[in-house]
Amino acid sequence: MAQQQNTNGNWEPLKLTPMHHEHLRLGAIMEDRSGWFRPSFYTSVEEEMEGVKGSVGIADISPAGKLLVQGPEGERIARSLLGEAAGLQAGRAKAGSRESAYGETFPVAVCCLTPEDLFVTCPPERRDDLASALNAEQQGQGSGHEAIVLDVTSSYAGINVAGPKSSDLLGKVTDLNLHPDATPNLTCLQGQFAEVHGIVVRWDRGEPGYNLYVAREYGVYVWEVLWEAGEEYGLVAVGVEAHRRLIGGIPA
Amino acid sequence: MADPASMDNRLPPHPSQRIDPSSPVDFTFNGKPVSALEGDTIGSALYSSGVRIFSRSFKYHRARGLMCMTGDCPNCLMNVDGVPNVRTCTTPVQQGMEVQTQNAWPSVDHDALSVMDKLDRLMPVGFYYKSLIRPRISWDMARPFIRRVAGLGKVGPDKEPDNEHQHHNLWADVAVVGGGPAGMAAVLEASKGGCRVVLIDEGPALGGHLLSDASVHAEPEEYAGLPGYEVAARLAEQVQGASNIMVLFGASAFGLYPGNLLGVSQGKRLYKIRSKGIVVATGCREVPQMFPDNDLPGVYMGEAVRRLVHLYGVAPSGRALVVASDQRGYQLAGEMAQAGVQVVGIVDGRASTTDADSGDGIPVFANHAIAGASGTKDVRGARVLDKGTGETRKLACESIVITGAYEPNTGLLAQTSTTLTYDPELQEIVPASTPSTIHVAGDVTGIHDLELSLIQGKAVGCEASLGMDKPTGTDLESLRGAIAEKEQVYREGLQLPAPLIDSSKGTGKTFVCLCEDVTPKDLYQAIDEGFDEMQTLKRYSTLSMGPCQGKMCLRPATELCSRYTGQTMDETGSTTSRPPLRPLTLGTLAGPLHMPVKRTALHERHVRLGGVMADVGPWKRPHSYGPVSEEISAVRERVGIIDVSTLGKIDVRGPDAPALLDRVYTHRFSNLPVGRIRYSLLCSDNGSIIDDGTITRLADSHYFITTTTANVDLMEEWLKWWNAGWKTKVHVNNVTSGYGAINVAGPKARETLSKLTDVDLSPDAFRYMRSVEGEVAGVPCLFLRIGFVGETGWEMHFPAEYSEHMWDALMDAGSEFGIAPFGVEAQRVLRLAKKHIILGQDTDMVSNPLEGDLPWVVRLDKDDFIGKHALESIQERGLREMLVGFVMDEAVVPEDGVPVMHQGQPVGRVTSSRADPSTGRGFGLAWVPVDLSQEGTQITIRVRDVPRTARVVHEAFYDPEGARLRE
Repeated sequence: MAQQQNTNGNWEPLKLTPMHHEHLRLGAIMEDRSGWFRPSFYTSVEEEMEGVKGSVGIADISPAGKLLVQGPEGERIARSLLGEAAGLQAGRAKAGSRESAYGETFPVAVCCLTPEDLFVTCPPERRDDLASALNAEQQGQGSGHEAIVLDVTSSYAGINVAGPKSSDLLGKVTDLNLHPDATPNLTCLQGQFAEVHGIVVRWDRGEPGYNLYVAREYGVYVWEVLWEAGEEYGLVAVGVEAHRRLIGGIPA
Repeated sequence: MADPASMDNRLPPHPSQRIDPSSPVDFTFNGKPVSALEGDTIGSALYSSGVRIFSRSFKYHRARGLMCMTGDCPNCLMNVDGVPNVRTCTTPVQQGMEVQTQNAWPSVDHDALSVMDKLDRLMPVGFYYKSLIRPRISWDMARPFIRRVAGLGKVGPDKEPDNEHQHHNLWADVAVVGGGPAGMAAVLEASKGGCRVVLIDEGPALGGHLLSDASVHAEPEEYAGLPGYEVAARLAEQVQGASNIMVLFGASAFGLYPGNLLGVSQGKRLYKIRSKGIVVATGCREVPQMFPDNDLPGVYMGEAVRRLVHLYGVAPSGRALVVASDQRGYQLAGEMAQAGVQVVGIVDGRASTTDADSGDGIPVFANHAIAGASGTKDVRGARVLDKGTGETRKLACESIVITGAYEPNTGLLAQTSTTLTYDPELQEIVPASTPSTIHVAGDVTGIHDLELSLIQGKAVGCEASLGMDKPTGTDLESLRGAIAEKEQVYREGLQLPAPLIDSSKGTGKTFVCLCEDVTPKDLYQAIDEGFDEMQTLKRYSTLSMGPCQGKMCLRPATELCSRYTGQTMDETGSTTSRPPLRPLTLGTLAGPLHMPVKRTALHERHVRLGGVMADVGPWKRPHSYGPVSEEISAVRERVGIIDVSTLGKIDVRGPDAPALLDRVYTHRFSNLPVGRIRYSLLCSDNGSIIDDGTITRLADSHYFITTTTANVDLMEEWLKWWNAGWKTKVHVNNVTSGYGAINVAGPKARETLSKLTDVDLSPDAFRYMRSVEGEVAGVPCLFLRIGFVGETGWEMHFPAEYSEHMWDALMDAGSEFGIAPFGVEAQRVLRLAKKHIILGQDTDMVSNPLEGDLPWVVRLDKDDFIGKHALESIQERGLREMLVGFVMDEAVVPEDGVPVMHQGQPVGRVTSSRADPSTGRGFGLAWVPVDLSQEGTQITIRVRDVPRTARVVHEAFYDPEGARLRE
């Protein structure tokens, strides 16, 4: 039986991302990262970093905590989250940080899909912190059902596409306008990617890059399409380690 | 003709040439080997190896040879590697290519259908509108022949690989079409301030017409003393040195759509380029002249000879006559002479010209016009008319080179709201005004001057990048002033060629439209019949409707029509230009095949267990893992598990959730206790069933709904729509993707699960249609005790990332009880035995729950719900048909969908049918008229065309009391 002990020594089954078997097929060295079984690296950290800097790479970021804050009070909650007047408009994202109950800060990205639908992402291990904080915030105001917080982490496959050729690669699978004027850093858009609905957040961290989220069941399909489309750019698969170093911090 | 492979008449190497004598490339032409050089096009290679007849014309099957070398005329279309109608004159050669001629039998050199040329009287213009009508049989007789000879080229029978074709989206600040001097000047200027610029060029190298231009330019000063190809090289070097310029080589812009969207094809790639500014610098092409036999192989456009000589190092064969009316023609004649071609004369339509002095001793026939070519399969001579005396003289020659008249390549512009007008001073149809984001420069403006092209390009490059916050620092005003000034000088210096004369009198046909073999006579006849402007003239005569889409014919035809009718050029009008400007393959437009596939998180487990994966909508689901009967007995006798992650799952919460569900579903949910499950249907306003599923109440104002796999998106929309419409306070979220789901069923299901969970599963503690939240193998789960397959069982929903762990844990825990996975087919048999319907299989768009034998889920005593009124009416009018169970009297199994017969007439149909696992007799569900629906009624079902008897059964076929379910 595939019961694994996680790093905390608890008997907690490891979580698998939708593209788990794609990583195995690519020969990834897998590791346990805060309860998720993730590709540490495929070839070597250096090679993967070079690949991204030189052209384009894709990384599986499905474990990232993903919360949907829904309702007319979403904006108030976003404001409380980012600790400032968020002033988020539909189609824009903001990156901020939040303090955990133990005083550690972790990054949070708030994407405004519509003024009543906020898509909030955070590092995998902070998902519960953030969810309870958001729930507390929502309930603390007493108005009850004006906003709800839904943990949609399991619902989405996440793929980070980064590197100078990232727009060219995505441009092969979507008709969305990715011109830097139309889609500057921290823009979030919804559209079709290889005929599948997805949310894309442009977030340049180190290299030009995008976080693409599609329904979990399409994860393997979209990964395969990108893999094929990226052949001409020398696309590389990027493990957790290289991804972390490239963005120079903790992914969210 | 000599063997193609043995001839080679290349000129000595020259810096302008693009061929590499040290890199031979071999390909086959009609099965025979041909050697070419790297840099050749198929056309130049064939020409240099002696091929003169490239194709046969569409209608009369006349011999046609290389004519334009620019991809404009239809003469060089061939089949290349199975792809028909490839323009061989511009397609680069590749090692191992298989090139074949088309539209000729047995060969292009000897085409049996060339007899058509003599039968032209039988096929006057518009003959298909006026002949073969009476007697009616004449069409039937002619049709097989016409079908066989019509059309151009044959598509290969082989399917292309799925993802050969690629689509790319590109976003630029400025897109420039045409990499000639004006286009390059435009990109250099536009890129100066940091704009992202895309340059689209049809050729393999930048330079446009300058590449084949060996004349030395005196102006502009910057390039004084340099030949054209050297100017091109210097500009190209700058373009390719800029990091913010992207050049697409070998790419043709075929469409300019609203929103500045350019469609560009490059081999098997399609680029969709969106930019803020567009510069059209597409240059111009030469206009053919009208004289008898103007289509013979050996009649060339000037640019064809320029390219043959300067790019590919091939001289046209034999003696040449050059038709010229400007300095470029004289220049070309001189270059041909230098290349060793004997030029027998220059025919100049102008009475006097200063250009005549530059003739290098070549005889000049001033105030003359060409009046005809002679020869049957190629040019053997020319007739030249003295316009002063009216005398005609014959000249022996093997090539006739047409230069002097130009037509701007305005095809892309004509797809936009650009106004195109005839400029009598330039004698060309030029863009007069363009939309604000589209700019024009270079020869496309009707001005053919290198210096002007470069300044125009610079100006529009600057204009196109205006307002983008990336200033180029150029003084646009003074540039515009310089352009106006120099254009004035250019116009004053023009020595116009005499107007085109129609010398189509005499023997031999003159061709206006090479694609469709339309002659001036055809046009005049059509005009006489009333089609006197271009739009109708085109439709009637098929002029411009062939592969070249009017590139060769529109200008001469407009002029002929205008002259014949006495209308002006503008009054005569033009045809409507639509994309694609150059033919495209459907594969290019279709792009890569994207077939989205949904996989559950257990996909790899199914594959590893040998599951036969079937497409269920976009999902992949295991049909079975082995013999279905074994899977069925595992569920009925031991324990089975099935992946039901595909079920639609919707989270409904909010204070008004009970009210919303009461009004949307047929059953009542406001009175459903927390922790209980209820099955229900939804109907549309006309009472027909939309969907079914289970609804679990998790908390007072929180429900978990399952829907059919196919309808989850519709249900999400439906609930959200009514929530918005009724202004109820409910949040509806589709959580299908987030949850994995496994159904554990069978007599040993309880024992299996109990090994993995602390939840009390005993029959009294956890009763049928109840739900509990708890952990299984360390995974948080929602347990639903339901029984689609008719055995004690639990449907467990849990975060999808734990799916494999969950599956493995269950398989492991159940191994001692003989657990087995079962697929969709076993599930279908098991549910049918319980008479559980599958929506869409057993119901259709008009089935209602009353006739569907599900009255118990309809609560007509509720205040209101969608479909209530319609269902009440149905009840009032009485039921007409019923969905009933049936069992065959014999061991036969009807196929799904076969008719139920009564007195020889079909009166109903079988919706689902399978063999009873124990008796082998067919059983299933069928729609029958209500008077045949009584328990035990004998009905007749047609099984493979044989009527067979069956009995109506009302109870479930298996465990009708539901004892096993509730156990």
